[in-house]
Amino acid sequence: MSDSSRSRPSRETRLLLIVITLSAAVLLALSQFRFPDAPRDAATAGATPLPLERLAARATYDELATIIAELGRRVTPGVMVIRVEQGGMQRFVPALRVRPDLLLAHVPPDSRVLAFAESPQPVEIAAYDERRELVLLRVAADATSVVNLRAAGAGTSAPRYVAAIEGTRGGAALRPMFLGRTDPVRDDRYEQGLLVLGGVLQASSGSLIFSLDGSFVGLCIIEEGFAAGVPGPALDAAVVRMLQVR
Amino acid sequence: MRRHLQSRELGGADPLDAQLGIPAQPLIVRLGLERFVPLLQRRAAFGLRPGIAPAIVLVPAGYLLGPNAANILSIDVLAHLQVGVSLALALLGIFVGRALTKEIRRFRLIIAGNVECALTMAVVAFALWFTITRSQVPVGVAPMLVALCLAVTAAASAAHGADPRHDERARAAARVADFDDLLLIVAGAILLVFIRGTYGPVSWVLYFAPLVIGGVVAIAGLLLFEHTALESERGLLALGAVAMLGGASAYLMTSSLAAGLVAGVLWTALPGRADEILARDAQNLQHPLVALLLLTAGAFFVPAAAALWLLAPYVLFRLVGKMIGAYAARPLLPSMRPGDLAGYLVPPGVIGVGFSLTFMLALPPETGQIIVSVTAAGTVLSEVIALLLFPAPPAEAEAA
Repeated sequence: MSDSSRSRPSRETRLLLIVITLSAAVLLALSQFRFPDAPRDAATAGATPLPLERLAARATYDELATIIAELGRRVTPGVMVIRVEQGGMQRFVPALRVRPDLLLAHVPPDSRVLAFAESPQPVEIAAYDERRELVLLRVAADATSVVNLRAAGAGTSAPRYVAAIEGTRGGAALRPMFLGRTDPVRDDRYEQGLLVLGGVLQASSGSLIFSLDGSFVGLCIIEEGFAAGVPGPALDAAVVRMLQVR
Repeated sequence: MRRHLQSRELGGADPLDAQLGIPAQPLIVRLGLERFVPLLQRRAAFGLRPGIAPAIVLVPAGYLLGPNAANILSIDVLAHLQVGVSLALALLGIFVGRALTKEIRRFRLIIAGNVECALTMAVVAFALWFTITRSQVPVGVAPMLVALCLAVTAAASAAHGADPRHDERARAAARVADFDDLLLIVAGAILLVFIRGTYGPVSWVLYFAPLVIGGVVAIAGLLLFEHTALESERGLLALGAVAMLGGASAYLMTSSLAAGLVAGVLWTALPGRADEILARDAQNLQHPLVALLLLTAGAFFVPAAAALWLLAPYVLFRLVGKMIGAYAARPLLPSMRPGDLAGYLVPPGVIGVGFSLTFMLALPPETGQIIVSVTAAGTVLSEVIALLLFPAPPAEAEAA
């Protein structure tokens, strides 16, 4: 082999060098383009749900948030929020649709229902039970979103997660809570008794407690310093009495 | 008459091919449509008969059946298929390990395959890292992590061979493509532990989890298979061993491919007939499981902007990486022109698709979607490019 042919790179080497040069040029050219702004992409991603979202490994808190969001979609149609004035302060209280045209809320006697938080319709009080601090509000009928109070709860005292629906200026908001235990206690006002919600419960008076499967657990009241739940059948009986007295 | 193109990966090949015999002509050839055969017929892996089960058909079919189109492979169905994916990868690993042990003396080809694989991964990883960082592509996690994941999926090859028994070049190229799987399985297994480390502290023991899982299942299999007389019972035990490999790996979020590789190596290297028993009993599962991997990858494909943005550099630099790798392996394969070797190495392997599905589950959803989408689309495009770059048969080459 001559020196000149030995010093010259082979055809394969030349080809490889050309490929590397061209690919480097393409890489540099590609890098000059900036990916479209994030908001546009985010909008696209929002329009097309990611198929992996339900399959990928998630943190436990993400799972809980998803469960609460799904629960909210199921139960919040049966809840409206009312604005209440008490002692010069305003607060928002959730009201549960117990009949097609009636909402039930826990409102102390020294309070005044001002308006619905999300609706401009006027407030019409259908009945008020001062002893139990329950108010019935008449609204436009909607039979599809009535919450079933007659169904007895799971009746379990086992520790479990539940969701508390609370009133906010924007509407009903769900918050997960852990119930250490649930024990029935007798109460003069309700024949069916109350449920003592065990553990340090950070639920406000008047909030609505739902189990994660969507069944109604109870209306939270603060009784002698501890949180108690008025179960669905007890509330239903109270509603019947209020309608009869009226 | 033009010979049918076939492809395979490490673990696919010769030992079982010899048992299975030369495949019959497919229906499409008998119908006189043989010019479409190269497009449709592939041997995915594992000593299977070549069949109409190529990525070029199954990945788009998966997309059409998937949640973004017909929704027959809905999210719920895909969630259930994850079990099958883990089993498929474990089985794939077993056959890789089996073939590797049988051909362990081919040092030059093993080194050539791993050199080619390492260079392909390096080129693809650098190019994609550069693209992601310079173009600011939103990938959800560290750009280097995404680049490395895609590099692992890109490195797999399934070499074509006009007929591996007669074409010397195709046979050597097939071996190189076979052995390149080894490095990427190891790299993928390590990368999985890195990924897991991005969302929590990881014990160093996890790096050795595939070794432990594969070793324990292999020993259990040896003890069980050898002492079982009934065929049906043996088949059940073989399936149980595969399920154990796939399940334990999925639980620990380690590579079931690597665990299967270890088990396959041990079953073949240690005295006994465990590897033959498993190869025979699991033979019927191989084709469906490869099809499952390709369909699942297609179903997960989402034509999102970020995935499409990375697709072109992925395919281009995979090709460049194969060319550089083939050139670097030239001293080990003096009889073969690097251009020809690169042409044989362009068809993508199923192992890359399998790893993309494993990475998908380990990464955040938006990142996993990018990985699996780029890999699925890149696999199809690479298949098409492979048809164009397929080296001429020896007779034609000599005439030229």
